[in-house]
Parts: sequence; C-alpha cells; structure tokens
Amino acid sequence: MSLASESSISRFVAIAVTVGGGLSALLIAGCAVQSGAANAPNSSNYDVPGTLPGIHLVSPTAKGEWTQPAGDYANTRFSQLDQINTQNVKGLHLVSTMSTGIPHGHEGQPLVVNNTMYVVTPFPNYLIALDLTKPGSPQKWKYDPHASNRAVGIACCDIVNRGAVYADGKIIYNTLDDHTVAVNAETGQEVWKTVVGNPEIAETETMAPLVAKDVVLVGVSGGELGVRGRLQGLDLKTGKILWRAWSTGSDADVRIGPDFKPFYKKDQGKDLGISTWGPDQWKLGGGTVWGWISYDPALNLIYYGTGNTGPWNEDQRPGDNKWAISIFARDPTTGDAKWAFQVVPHAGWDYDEIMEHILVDMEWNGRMRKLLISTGKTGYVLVLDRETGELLSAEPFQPVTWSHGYDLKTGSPNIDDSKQTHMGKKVTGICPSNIGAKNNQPDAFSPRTGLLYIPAHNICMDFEGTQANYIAGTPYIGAIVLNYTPRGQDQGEFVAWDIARAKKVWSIKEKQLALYSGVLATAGDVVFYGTLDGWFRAVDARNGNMLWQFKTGSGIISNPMTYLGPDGKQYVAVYSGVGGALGSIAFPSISDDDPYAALGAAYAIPQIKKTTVPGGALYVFGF
Amino acid sequence: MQQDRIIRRLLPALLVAALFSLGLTIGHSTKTVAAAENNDAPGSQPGIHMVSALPNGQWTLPAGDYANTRFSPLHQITTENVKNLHVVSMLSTGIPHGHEGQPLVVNNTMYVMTPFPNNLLALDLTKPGTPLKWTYKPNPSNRAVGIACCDIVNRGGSYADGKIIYATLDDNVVAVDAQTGKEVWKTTIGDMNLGETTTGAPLVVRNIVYVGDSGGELGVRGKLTALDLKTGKILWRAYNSGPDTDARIGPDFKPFYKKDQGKDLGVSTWTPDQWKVGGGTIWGWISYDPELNLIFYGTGNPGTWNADLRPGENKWSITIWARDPTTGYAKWAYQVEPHDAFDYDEIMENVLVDMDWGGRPRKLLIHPGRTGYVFVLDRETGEVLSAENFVPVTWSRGYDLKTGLPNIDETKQTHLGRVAKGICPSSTGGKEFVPSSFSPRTGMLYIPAHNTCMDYEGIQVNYIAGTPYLGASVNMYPGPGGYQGELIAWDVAKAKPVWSIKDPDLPVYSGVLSTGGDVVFYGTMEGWFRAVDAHSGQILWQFKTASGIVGDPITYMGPDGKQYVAVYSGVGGWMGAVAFPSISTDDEYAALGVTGAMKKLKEKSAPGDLLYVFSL
Repeated sequence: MSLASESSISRFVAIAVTVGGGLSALLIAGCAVQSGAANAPNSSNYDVPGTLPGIHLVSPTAKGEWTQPAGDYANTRFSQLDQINTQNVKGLHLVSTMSTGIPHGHEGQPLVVNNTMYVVTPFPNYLIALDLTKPGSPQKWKYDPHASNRAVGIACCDIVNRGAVYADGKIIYNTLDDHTVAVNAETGQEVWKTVVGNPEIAETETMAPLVAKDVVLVGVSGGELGVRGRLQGLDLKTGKILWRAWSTGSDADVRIGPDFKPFYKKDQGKDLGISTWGPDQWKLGGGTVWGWISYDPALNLIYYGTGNTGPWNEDQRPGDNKWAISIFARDPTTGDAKWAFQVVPHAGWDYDEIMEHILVDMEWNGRMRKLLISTGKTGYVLVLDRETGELLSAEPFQPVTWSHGYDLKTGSPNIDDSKQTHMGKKVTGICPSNIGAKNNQPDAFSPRTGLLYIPAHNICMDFEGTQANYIAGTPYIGAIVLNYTPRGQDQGEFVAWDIARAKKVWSIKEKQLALYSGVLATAGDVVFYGTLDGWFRAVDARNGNMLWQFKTGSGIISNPMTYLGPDGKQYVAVYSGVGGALGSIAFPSISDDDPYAALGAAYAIPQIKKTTVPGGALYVFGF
Repeated sequence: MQQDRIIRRLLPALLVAALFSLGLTIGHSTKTVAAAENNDAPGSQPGIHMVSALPNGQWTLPAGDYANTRFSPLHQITTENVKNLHVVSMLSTGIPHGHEGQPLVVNNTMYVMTPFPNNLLALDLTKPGTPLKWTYKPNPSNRAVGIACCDIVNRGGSYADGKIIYATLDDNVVAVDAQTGKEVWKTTIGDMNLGETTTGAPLVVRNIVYVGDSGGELGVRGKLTALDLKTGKILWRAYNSGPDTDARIGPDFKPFYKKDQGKDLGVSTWTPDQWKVGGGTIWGWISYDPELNLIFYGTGNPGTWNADLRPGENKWSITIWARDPTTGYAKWAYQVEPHDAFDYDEIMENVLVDMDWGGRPRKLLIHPGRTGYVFVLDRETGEVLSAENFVPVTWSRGYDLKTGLPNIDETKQTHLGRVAKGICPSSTGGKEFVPSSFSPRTGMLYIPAHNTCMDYEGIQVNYIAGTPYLGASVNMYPGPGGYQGELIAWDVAKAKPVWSIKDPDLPVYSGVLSTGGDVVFYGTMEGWFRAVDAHSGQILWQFKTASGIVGDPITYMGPDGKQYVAVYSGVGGWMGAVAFPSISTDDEYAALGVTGAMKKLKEKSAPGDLLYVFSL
C-alpha cells in the first residue's frame, strides 16, 4: 500500500482542471505542486463526501482497512466509513473481545489489513494476527520478538507500545528493548530485525513507526533518563539504518544542511544544537521522539516533534536547548531538515512536543494554505504553515499560566517569568502540568465539520528543580513535581475545536479523570473516544451529544479505529487497559500514599484507583 | 419428535407422581420428599423435588443454592430470545490468571473475588456501567504463590449475615462487611510452611462457615474447618486422615459399606505416619441438606501420587462425607476409590435432589467425578445406587454396588518404576472441580467433561515440608476418539447421556448454569460463552470472550427487573495454566503432566482477567 505520490498528484492536477474548470484552479494547483509556493490547491482527490468548502485532505484517509498508526499519513484519524451514523450508533454492540494477558497500559491501536487484525501488545511486545473471516476472529499466529527484560526497568512510564505500520507485506513495529522488527503479514515470520537503540544508556522504544517513501521512520524514548533524542530512517526492504537525525548536537548530527530554512530568526544559526546548551549537556539533552509522525506526499516532507529537554531542572542547562521541544520538517529519503520550529526555548516544565501533527489544506485568512496543526502539552493549538514553519495561530485550549500567548512575529511564547522554574525554588500554579494539557493520545480531525477533537486535561503543578546527576541508564530528572487539578474545576475535557476560528465549539467534561484516550472521527459524523474509567463513547461530531457508551473492563488510553469486516460491515475497535504515564497510577505497585509517585502525577488523580483496575483486552464493536 | 421423547422419558416419573399423590407411597421418604416440594421450580418434572431454596434474583452462595444444583428459576432469557443476548458490562481485575468460581449478587451489588492477591470488588448494579463501590484488599502473603500447585485461583465466597466470606490463598478466611467493605474478622486456618493453601469457596450454614484446604501435591493433610460466623473463631476441625477423633468419627457414624467400617481406619489403612502427609484435601464444593441437616463434601487425592509409598486403602482420601453441620461429626462416609493410584480427587460438587429411583422417591446425592463415573448415592445412608461412566474409563470396569468397590483393572494400576499406559481418565479426571448443573425441568445433569488419558509412572519422592511431594511422572493426551472436551447432558434417572457437545481441541473446563428458561450456559477454554437448549443441546447463541473460560456462570435480576448472566473469562487453573507464558509446550510433563494434552491452548487463548455481564 505504498502511495505513488507524484503520479497521484499529477492526476489530481488534471482532475482539478477538469472539475474546477478555471484557470485559477490550474494556477493554484500547479503552483503547489511545482514550486511549493504558499498557496494550496482548491480541491483534492482525497476529499470525502461532505467535506466542508475550503478544506482539503492531504493524503488518502482510512476506508476499509487501517494500515497506518493514524489511519492516514496526515494523522487525521478520520475514516470514510459511514455505516455507523448518529442515528444507528445506539444499536452498537460488543461483537468480539481478546485478552492479551498483560495488565499494563494498552496505548496505540490495532491494524487491519487483508481481513486480518494485527495487535501489538505492551512488553513483551507480541504481535498477534487475528483472522477476521472466522467466527470469534481466532488467532492466526503470534510473533514473539523475545524482548529483553532489561527494558522494563528503564521505561519511564509503563511498558507501553503505540502500534505498528503495514507496508510492503510487512507489519513493522518497535520493541521496548530497542529493536525495530518487520514481520511477514501473512506468515508471521520475521523478515528483519534491527537494533535501533541501547538499553544500557536507557533508550527504549514505545512509538509507532511510519513508512514514507520506503523508509521506516523510528524515534526513541527515554527523556527522563538522559537519552539524546533522534529519528532514524531504515530501509523498508532490509531494515538497514539509512540515516540518523539527532535532536541535539552539531548541524551534521541534526541533518541540517543548505536546505534548512527555519522561518524564525530564533531557529536560525549554525550548530544551535550545541551552542544553545552548556558544554556537553546536549549529549544528555533529551528531545526524544516518542510520538507520531506525519507525511505530506505532495511536499514529500515528514513532520514530527521532539520531547522535553533533560534534565527537568533547567538551571543545569542554560540556553535555548535546541532542538528539544521542536517541530521538524524533513525529507524522508535523506533525513535532511527543511525547517524547524522550537515551540518552547529552554523549557522548565517537561513539555514534550511529540504529539501528532495533523496535516490539512485549509482556507486561512482568505487564502488556501497548507496547515500543520499541533495540540501540545503546552496547552496551545499551534497552527503552522507546513511549507515554511510559520506560526499562523497559537490559542490555548486549556488553562495556561506558564505563558501569555505567542508572538507570531517572533514565534516565541510570552513566558510568565513568575512561572519559570529554578533549582531550589518551588514554583506553584503552573498550568498545564508536565503531563500536559494533552498527552500523546492523538486528536482526530473531521473534514466534514472542520473540527479538531482533542482529548484534554486540566492539570496544573508545583515544580521545584533539584540537582540531577547523570548515571547512565538511570533516571535523570532533577525536579520535584506535584500535579493537581485546581479545586472546584473538572479534570478531563473532550474539546471540539474549530480550527478556522481557533476556538472551542463545544466540550464534554470529566469531573475527576483526565481524558487520556485517542479519538476517531468518521464520515458517519460519529466521534469515538474512551475514558480513564473505561467508558467507550460515541458522540455526535457536530454537537457533542452523547449517542452511546459502553463500559469496558479497564480504563481506555488507546486509540479507537474502524474498518470494514469481510462481511462488508463497519466495525470499531479499541483497547481497554489502563496504564501509561498517567494511568499507571491504577497499578497496585503505585502507592496512593505517595503524592509524588509516577513522576508527580499521582496526586492529581486519586480517583483512578477507585474507578478502574488494570486490564488488557481488545474490544470490537458492530451491529 | 422431541416432545415424544420427553414424554417417554417422563412416563415413569409421571406414574410415580400419580401414585405419590394418591398417598400410596410409604415410609419416611414420603414425608421428607413432600416437605421439599416448597422449593420446587415451575415446570419441574414430576417426581423431582428440590432440596433447598433456589436462587431467585440474587446469588448468595457459591452454587446459588445449598444443594449445588446451579439451577436458577429465572426465565426471562428463553430458548427463543437468547439469541439477542449482548454484553452489557465488563470489568477487568488486572490479574491475568485463572478466574475460577463465580461472583455473588446481593442487594443490587455484585461481589467479585479475584485470584491472588484475592481482592474483593463490590460493584454497584444500580448505576450505569456498574462502577466500583469499594475494593477490599486482604494483602495476602506472596509466600502462597510459590506453593499453590495449580495457579493462584480462588473459587468464590458466600454471603451471610451482612458479610461476604471467602478464603485467601495464604490460608486466611475473611469476613467483609457487604455494605462498607470493612473487614469484620480474619482467621488463619492453615500453615503455608506445610504447603497449605486455600482456594475453595466457603459455605455458610446458619451460623457456621465451612472451609477446606488445598495442597494435596505438597503432603498436606486435608481437613474441613468450621468457623463461627460472627467472630471467625474456629469451632472444630475434621481431618481426612488419622484417628477417629481427628476425623470426627463418633457413635453416630454409620457408613453403608463394610469397607468403610472399623476403628481408626484413617490410621490403619496407611503405613505408619504416612497418613500425616496423606492428602485428602478439600478444595471443591460443599453441599447442605437443610432437612436432613447434613453437609456433604468430597476429599482429594492421597499423597503421594506414587501409590507404592502408601500401601493400604488410604482413608479418608477420595471420600464423600456426610456430617452434622453443628458438631462436625460424621454420619457416613463413602470412599470412592481405595488406595488411589491415579490422582483422582473427588472434591467435586455433590448435587442434592429428591427423585424417584427404582420406583420410589429417594434422597439422592449425585456426584460426577474425576474417576469418570456419575455416582448416585442415597444421601441419607451413603448407599451407592448407580455408578455409570460418562467418559471413556479404563482404570476400572464399573462398580460393584453391593460392596461399593470399583472393579479395578490391574493392568492400569500404577507402580513405582513402571509406566502404566492408557489410563483413562487422566489425573485431571473425566471432569475437574468445575461444577455441573442440574435442571429439575429436564431431570438432566449438565456435566463439563474431558476426554483425556495418560501414561503414569510412580517415582520415589521425599517429603520436605512446604515443597512438592508428588512422586509420579505423568504424560497426558487426548482419549479415544481424539476429541478433548464435552458438555454432556446426563439423564440422572436413566444413568446415561442424552446429548453432548464435543470440543475437538480442548477440555470443557467451565462450570455450568441451567435456568428456568431452559437455557444452559457454559464456556469453552477457547473463550466461547455458550447458551444451549437444555432439552436438545442445540447451540442457541455464543459470544467469544477475551480469554478461555474456567469460571462458573451465574444469573440474577438487575435493579431494573431484567435478567442478567455473568461469567469470568480468564484462562488458568491446572489445565488452563498451559496458556501462561511461563509454561513451555516443549515440555510435555509441565503443569503436572497436562501440557501434552493441552498443546493447542496456547494458540487458542491468551491469559485474561475479565468479568462479562450479558442481558437481552
């Protein structure tokens, strides 16, 4: 299922001419393709029925299968399936379930290819193939990568895995112990296995790879253990590592070359990955890549964000600390950077920006633009021009105290100095907390409503920097953190965000628990998400009316997906199994007596132990 | 056709019922049977009477009732509408181990007792999604995990006097306030240093809690412990070996058969001192007859499995007991198999029912056991009325009802240093502890059965307290016909099967529930939860749960007046443990020899930890 991007684009130009019928369409479309100018096309052959005027999809959205982590390259998590709609969703029933036997955080989502469902479990990272053509969808095979136990002790935030990608007949995913594996999707036989990191220096792998232009893109986790972040490109056929692009260090290491054109002055300069740090600190500086990767086939650029700077104690690392907390645009074949945008310089709050970047072409201030939308830990919805890296908008979707908005001219946040953290000083009332206004659980975007659906939390923190000493392979944090939701306020919020107007349209609040699951939007105008106490919900994409819900066995921190069964019927699948950074507080091993447990998150969410129990099962719903 | 068959089957019973109503039957049976009619369910077959109150809306005892019928008169779910059953609610326990037993439902609250660490979860059935009301954690000792023979299971609890009472793997019985989740009392009833664990579900009769013990593979000496319901104080203990005083055998003891009569048989049927490590543990189900005022239960295998190390009949292992619930004194005992050489525990459920038998109403105790036979006993006297095999049996050729003894096939007898081949059933039995269900509407016992045979060689073993004391090399494999599991509908009156549903690959290892809607529920080790027609065995509906089912389904009325069915899905236990990553299928002798028979389990079911609730 590799996308022949060039040919489809030229076909689309022809369609644009025919359909649009006007010279302007030809000019605009032609511009976008040939010169990469700021104007985006007026229509797209990826558009789905009911797409709002002025909105165009960048890559094919998921239909019958689900072959990529987000369903599509553009990370919309929008499915064209519409059998399940706002009228009939109340008739949805559980049709199949499968245990993994691993009561830990089940993040990510399954894949569906050729009437087979592929489930990647948390450590020990089994890959289980389920035959959808048979009653009860029995197991076809199970692949065991024999991941090393060494990885369990160094994973910061539970032993999660965020899923796999299908390409070229192979299921490709990462194991916690730093391997990328490619498994024959038919037989379950290992095709290749590549070491992509080193557990001895605390590197782990939790993210879902993406494949663009026959290159497998793999990040790294471990920002709380002095890991130096990077993205690696692997050859799809052989697994051979083609390139590495580090998040700190020299321009050569970061793969910054003559093509690198950051929009803002603050991101321009030579070897900023060294000069914006104290000597040698960049070698342990974090900026890990543990979230989602997007790809724009027309621009032939991949997009991803980097994680927090390390250690959390900012006084140990004076400077802007590039390229932590940055959004990168790169060429997938060479890994070379096209632009970068550091979201927060010298961050003292553990704000990772590894979140999904949703790519969509939209009208913006009267003209079509190629947008990249990022909803981050920082609490802002950032809208960038994905050709240039220009920040077009930054509006908060949750209470924010660490800054007072962004200066779009400089691309810098107006930081509130009273919230700046320091060693030995306890700063109170920082919002959002280090868990973020949202975490890695991804949004969905519907072209039929123009709305972004954000799983958000309203959690603030007190933060005191402490001295951190580096010992390879051990925690390197340097902060005492206490999370809480301000008294009288609700903790979770499912936010429908109007991108064009940059504001909230409606929301569904969760009194005591953060919203910590991914979201799925569908052409039936039904949006699906889960709650930390196990409810799986269907809401009306237009008004947020709760249409249906089902109580699963454990809290949901995974991402719903949808597919067509061999019977031609639409199904929706989701994991139920609480865990991850925030959800691991439900584990028996985390004491509710210690408010600082789970990197400071425990205090915010005492209710989780009372409302959910660890679990690990796949749920499939249908009529 | 089907109706004809039913009527034909009913005819004798109808005749007897007619005679009975005319007052022609005589003797004390008449009186007692008549009294039992109060508990009868609508549609009960003539001549069949229930012995104790049936669960009607709640589920307060492990089997739903004292008589262990696991029959509920609820009938909203019928053979017609069961196809519309859906999952309405689920709960994880976070413990991917064998989920045996069943929840309780009392006062619109569901109580779930998890495998080790044996948490008690209370779910509020009045609220959407049945949220947790509270969780009680007994914090049992990890020491218990290493000595539990067959996974870290728990088989449930009882509700009585406002308390939920259950046992923890580390040998404590706890009573928890059903409203608040606060511990009322906690009593230590065993010693882990001797290999004792506790997995069985306690039964409460009036003011006394009865609980057995586990550990027959570690030289544990089996016993029943009686505790005061109010305080948890231990009232008495009845051992399954040793002198008559230890076994609570006194002047009232009247075993039916000569072989079970005599003084201090719990000592004299063993070589010196071997009875002290002789097994006979009690890890299954306890029944109670309110009218006779007797409790009934069976005892487990003798230890060690190497029979040559313990010459003699090894009483009171593999024995069914009738005892006075207040004093604990034995009324009768029947040793099912003397000098067992196959690890045939007989701790299975004893289903109590009053039925016509041989032309007159009798008080029956029905016991489908590991031995492969359905035993029908007169529960007043301990007389064996019938013993017919329900699965292929090679270790013996039937029972002599005059002596109460099996006709043992000497070629299958196991010995030290000799591999006896083709023994059927295997140690895991024609069925395991997973309980059968009896419907008074069909007169059938629904038996979850296995067809597994074995090769068995006794080996030398030395006792070290708190460690395995096994003494056999066992290799199991599918029995004749090649299939592995079977749900058998057994006509109790005719002592023969009526229909069955075979499972080609895996044993049936879940409990069974029968209902007033003539729907029988059970689960497979692959995870299918099934509803079948109680009369015909037709599969009416099935749902694939997330893991293999080794729990027992229950049914109850929700606060909305609707009938619900609940079951655990979480493979494990002895045979189910083969699904665990820690058990290698390369070793046929793993998991006490069951792995050879269970190779397909790993690919068919992953471990799980879920409660499922279904309704229309």
